Amino acid sequence: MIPGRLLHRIAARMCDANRLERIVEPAIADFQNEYAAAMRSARRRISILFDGYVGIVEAIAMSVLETSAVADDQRRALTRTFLWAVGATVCAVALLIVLTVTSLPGVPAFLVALIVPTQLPIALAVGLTLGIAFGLAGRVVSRRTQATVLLVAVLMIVVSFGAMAWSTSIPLGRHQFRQSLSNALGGHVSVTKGLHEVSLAQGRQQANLAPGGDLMAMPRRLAWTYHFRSSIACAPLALAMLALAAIARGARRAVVMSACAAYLGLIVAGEELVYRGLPPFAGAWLANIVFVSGTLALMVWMPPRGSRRSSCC
Amino acid sequence: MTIPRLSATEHMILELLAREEMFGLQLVARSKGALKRGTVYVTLARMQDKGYVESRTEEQPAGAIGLPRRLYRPTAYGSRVLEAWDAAARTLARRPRLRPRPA
Repeated sequence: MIPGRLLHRIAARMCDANRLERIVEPAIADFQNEYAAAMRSARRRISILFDGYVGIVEAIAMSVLETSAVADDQRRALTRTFLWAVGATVCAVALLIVLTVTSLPGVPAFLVALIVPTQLPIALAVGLTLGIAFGLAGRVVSRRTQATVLLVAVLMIVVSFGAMAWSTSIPLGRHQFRQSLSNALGGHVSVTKGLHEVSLAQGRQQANLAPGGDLMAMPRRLAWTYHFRSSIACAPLALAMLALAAIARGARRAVVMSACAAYLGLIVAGEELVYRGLPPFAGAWLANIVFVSGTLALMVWMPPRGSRRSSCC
Repeated sequence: MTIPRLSATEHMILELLAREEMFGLQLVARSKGALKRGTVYVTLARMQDKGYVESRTEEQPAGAIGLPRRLYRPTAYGSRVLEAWDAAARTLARRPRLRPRPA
């Protein structure tokens, strides 16, 4: 008879592989050896069985409790991340609206409501990145937490892309804002829809009406705008990937915030480069391309913090 | 710089392991009741995370049944931490003699 096999199977279901190997298995191994060494005395074997089983159950319980404590810590970090993300998104929307409104003197206050959704795609990306910076920087982030943050980033892409590309809410709100502004200022003319103010399908139709039916034949500014709508929707994932990779390598909060500012700078640089000959598609996707390449470079050339083993021992 | 922490249990384990490489159950036996078999493995795993101890699995003879045991020994870092804590304890134990103030 080899005691402890059943407990090993139970522990394998309850504990992760690391704790099973480092806590439960050494306990069971010592127990089995102690039991084997006391084969002559039945009384001693009973005592060993009792002590051994109690000890192993205690070790499994402590191991499980410690795992759930780690999970609690990660849950708290996630909650803090998302609270910061929501707060930062609200602040970013407010800032973008203030910047828009101050550039247009005499805008009636009620019109501001029309442009709130239009600021969401960029505000969501900035908000999530700042949430990661304030919620996760300086701590060990588990793979599950990283996966949850990336899943939220993907959901943000779906929402942003759906709203900007297919739904008419954001383009319509943007056009209504301009039309209402024109009316409020006494223009009373029908404002023509810009490329930002039609759905992606309508934009493609407009592109097909352009000379030669070729999107690249459109003025560069319009072509950049067309591609930028898809690219900005993907910003949350590009930013979140780089922020998580940087934090896993010990980057501080300021570094993540600087990365967010760099992303916004790359958007401006991409647009500028389009006027200087860069294909509009590449200009619109420049920030995402740079950030995804940066993430891959980090993952390939720089191991995460804690993965290097000390050689001094 | 963060100063490494060492609990009383961890201190005892490092002291016991400084003499020789041991299994978890040997540590329990040598501690004369101070260490419990239900908690010693959790403490050892935590000490491994901190870099105080390292472990290896015992080489089992052919035909042996059951799981291989795990042997523990202090790392160089763990030994240094133990020395530093002992030195700190000795220093703090030496209380300066209080002299009455001259009237």
